[in-house]
Amino acid sequence: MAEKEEFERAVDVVTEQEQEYAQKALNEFKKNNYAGALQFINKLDNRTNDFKVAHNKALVEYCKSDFRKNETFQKNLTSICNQFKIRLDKLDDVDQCIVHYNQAILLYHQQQYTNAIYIMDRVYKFIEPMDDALAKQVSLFAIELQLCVRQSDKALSLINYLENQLINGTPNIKLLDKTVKEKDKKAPQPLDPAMEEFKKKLIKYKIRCYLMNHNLEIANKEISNLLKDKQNFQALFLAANLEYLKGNLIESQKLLAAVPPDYLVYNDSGESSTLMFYNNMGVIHHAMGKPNLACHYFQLALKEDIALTNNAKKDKGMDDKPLYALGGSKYHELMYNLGVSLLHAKRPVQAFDCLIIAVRRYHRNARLWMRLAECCIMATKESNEVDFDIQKRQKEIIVNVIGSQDKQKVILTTNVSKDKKYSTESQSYAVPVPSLEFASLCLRNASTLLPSDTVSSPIPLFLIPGGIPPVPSCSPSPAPSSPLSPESVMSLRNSILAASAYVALCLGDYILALEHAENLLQQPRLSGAHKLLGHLYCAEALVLLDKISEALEHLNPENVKHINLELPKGDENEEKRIKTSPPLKWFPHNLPTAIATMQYNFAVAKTIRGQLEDAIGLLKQIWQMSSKCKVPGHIIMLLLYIELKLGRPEPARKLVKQYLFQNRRKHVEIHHSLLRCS
Amino acid sequence: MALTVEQCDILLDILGETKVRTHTLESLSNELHKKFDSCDYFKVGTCLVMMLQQDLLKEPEQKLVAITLLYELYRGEALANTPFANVFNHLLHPPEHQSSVGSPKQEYPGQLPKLTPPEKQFLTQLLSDVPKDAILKKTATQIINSDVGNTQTNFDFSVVQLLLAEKQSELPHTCKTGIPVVLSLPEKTNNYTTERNDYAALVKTIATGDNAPINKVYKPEFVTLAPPLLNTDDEMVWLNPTNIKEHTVAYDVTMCVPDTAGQEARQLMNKAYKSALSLQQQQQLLGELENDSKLVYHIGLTPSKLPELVENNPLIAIEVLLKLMQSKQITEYFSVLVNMEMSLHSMEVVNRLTTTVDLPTEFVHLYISNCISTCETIKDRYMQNRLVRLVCVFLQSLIRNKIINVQELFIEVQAFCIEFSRIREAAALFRLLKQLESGEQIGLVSSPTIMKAKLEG
Repeated sequence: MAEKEEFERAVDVVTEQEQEYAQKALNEFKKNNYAGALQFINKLDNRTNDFKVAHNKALVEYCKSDFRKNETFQKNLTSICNQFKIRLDKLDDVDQCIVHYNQAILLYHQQQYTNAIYIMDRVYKFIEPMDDALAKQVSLFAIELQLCVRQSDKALSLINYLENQLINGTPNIKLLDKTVKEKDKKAPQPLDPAMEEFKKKLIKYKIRCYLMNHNLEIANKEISNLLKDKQNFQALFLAANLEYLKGNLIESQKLLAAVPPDYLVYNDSGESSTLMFYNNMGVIHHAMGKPNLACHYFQLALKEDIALTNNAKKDKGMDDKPLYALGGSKYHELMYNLGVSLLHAKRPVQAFDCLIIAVRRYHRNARLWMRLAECCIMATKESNEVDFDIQKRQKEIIVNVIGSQDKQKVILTTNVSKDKKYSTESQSYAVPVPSLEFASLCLRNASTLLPSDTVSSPIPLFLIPGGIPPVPSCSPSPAPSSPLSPESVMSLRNSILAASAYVALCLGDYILALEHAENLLQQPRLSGAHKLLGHLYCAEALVLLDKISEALEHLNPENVKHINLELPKGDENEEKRIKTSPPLKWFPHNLPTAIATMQYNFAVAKTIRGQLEDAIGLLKQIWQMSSKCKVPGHIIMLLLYIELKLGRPEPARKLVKQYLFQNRRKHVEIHHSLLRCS
Repeated sequence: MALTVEQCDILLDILGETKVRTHTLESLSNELHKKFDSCDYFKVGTCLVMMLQQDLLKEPEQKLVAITLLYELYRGEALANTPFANVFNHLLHPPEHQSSVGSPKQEYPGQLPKLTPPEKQFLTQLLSDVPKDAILKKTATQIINSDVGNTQTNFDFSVVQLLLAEKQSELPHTCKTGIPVVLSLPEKTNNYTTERNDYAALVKTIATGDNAPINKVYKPEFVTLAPPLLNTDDEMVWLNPTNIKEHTVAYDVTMCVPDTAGQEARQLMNKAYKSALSLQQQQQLLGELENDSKLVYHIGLTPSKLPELVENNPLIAIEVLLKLMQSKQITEYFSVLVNMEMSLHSMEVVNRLTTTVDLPTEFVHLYISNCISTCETIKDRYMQNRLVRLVCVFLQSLIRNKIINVQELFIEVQAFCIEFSRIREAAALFRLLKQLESGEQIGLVSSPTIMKAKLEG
């Protein structure tokens, strides 16, 4: 301890000459004359024990390289930290903040947001003792980092604190003693232009927060203030974003088109307005329900992104990219958008390839894992419609005809639908291909990462001796998308459960399937479609578990009243504010088809229990519905099966002959055979 | 899981039309055992059953040989445990006979041929416990043409049937629903020149290969609807300009700028860690801190130095902590304070803080718990008494000032009072707790100074 104090005292002694050099260096630095600044700093070389000198020297050298020698700067910072025993995981002196801050800046530009946040959390504790200019820079940076990881609430609380502390000067701590409070209150300071500028920046951050957490009214107010300045193109982007969220897609498109294409050029700013334009147009078209057009725009944006990042590398024949262009690539975000659009465009395999790239970066995103699972499911079954295509299905009943004359045999199909795949292969599930096996892993990830119901408990105070809190693990978040509303979490959870039950059924894991399906039915708010699926999956799993009576209860048509795809309205009859989901379609389109499916599965359960005559009666009922709605194509094969089981091969043979040799009069014939059977 | 073409050829050869007439059943059975490994027996068996079901054995001798071979595959094992026991059951008791409904002729999937009386008798003998050497020494032709009459063997099949039924009932319904996918569909034709060759080819198509139809069944199928795509809002990533260039590295402007501002305060603080300051020094330090609200951050105080300050200059510590209340570091200071050794001074600091600002309840509770456990573990009897009295007065003050909700710590505090009931202050605290419990009004608020006077007096 004593030694350290001695050492500090030695550093504290500064000659007037040295002070003069330092002042001149600062002046040159402010004029962006880095070579000049370096000259003066070099004159302070004899202050070998002063880490501030070492730090500034490394910094100015870096600035002189046009912010390109990132690695050298990084190395220099590390060696300074080593030399002066500054530990990056510990910070207890305000003077060391700047080294930490610069490290965090480097991490930020390399898109290592979580690590940067970890450092900045510690730096931010010293925000009060910091000098004003640095404090502002640090706070804005901390806000930006929170926005990068889509933590709009944390960002907003930072903004709040800033407004109270730096601008109004009132402490936001609650003091019991009134007198102390009044003493601390300062008269409001007159605003200088720098402060004005700073406030403007804060407003932009605020708007981004409000857009992110869907507080559209406040965002609207703030944006219209900004838009008074016609040249404020950033405000145009924000306004377009707002209109998009409100569902005014045409208006949003107009606003975007008003931004001049060369507003932001990548080589100057690390951002490209062209790329943003293409991407946002894609987003708008996706919301319009035009996924193919959206894909086109996303592909344009991707091309732009790849060209820009490659160019920045080659620029000026140097290997190093400038700092601001290090992490400007939006590759993973664009891949995410493209993947989701491709999925909606019913191109699941291509979508899978895109999303599997996006998930490398955003592996804590539950919804992204869910989308991957959807790709797998769609790749194995494009639509439920195939199960209801009687013409196509009946052609598949007979696989082969062998022998001839009185020894002629037909080989029937083993399964009409191709959903089920009881794999016996020893191949690992973890191979990233669009298979149901991989889907089951994706879904497990998704449900693990899903935010829990309870609002996250406040972070406890760290009153444990030893002081340093552990490294925060990066929390699950829907990044790169905006945070999920409670309603979105609910519908995401329902979808994960439904998909998990489906995949488990298809893979033959009916115990798990039952668990997921029952869990689905217990969810507080359930769309009609999910309710239907929950009952169907439960019933199928129960039959496979030999609990047929329980299964039959699930197949009661009274269980399903509608097959809407939206969550039913919550208790608060609030108007839905965000309108960006593309129109969705699902087969079955209507309730009768859904009921026919339930009835058919009911007949299957009865058949399995040996109640064959009952089953035929049901099949007849379903067939009568076929004039009004689509009915499952499996119905013919089931009829064939029941006839055979009843020991009546002749009607069965007749059915086979019909479909094998003459396809024309099928409807009439089935009708007859069904009527006759009953 | 099916025979290879070669194996199938061997099997068909054993079942050859002329061979079955000339060879004894025993020699055919021996040939079968010689030419197939035991691991293939099941495949051979399924193939034999299929030929019986699909009527692919032209001559009655062939059928009989097939049935014999099916039995011989698992000879020596308990019948009920062999995989084809049910086939024999069906051969002896065809389903039509069970359901004696006089309806039109019924035919079930996988139906087996009907046996003639001599065949039936032969099968019964085969299944029964009697020595079979005699009957196996015969040829199939001899058996078919034998006379039924006198040698009635009454084999009681019901035991086996019972065992089989038991086994069946253990299986879930879905396992029992499969039917063979091979369905015969005779063509009506006048041409009766069906050749033997056709049979062999047919058997091979059905019973051999990776994808042999013989191994397949059809079961009633559910329609399993795939779920709809997730319907969600604001999923796509919208890009807004973020001005990433604004976030850039910073220059340390404090380089070689001597920190004159708090020079004296700093030196005073350095002294304050080591010994108590004089009243005059205290006033000077507090005055400087009062004048510059940011000075408190520049006097070199860190959380690790706080305990020394508390022990030597509690008044300074209180003022400094109050000034640091809005700082982000305050929790770290609290953490140090709560974990430092318990003393009159640390308690005084905490007490003052509780009456001046809103402290996190978690912190106050933790501090109380620490105090109690310190009292319990201390060895020196005199020190213990002193500390207990201190804690009691401290707790009374907290309760009377309504800083803590006593309900949350009731059990812990009550146990503490009972343990030290020999000490007057503990008994007083206990009474206070009881009063609170019965909802009585609490008396006057005791101020911290009284507390100090009490303790030192």
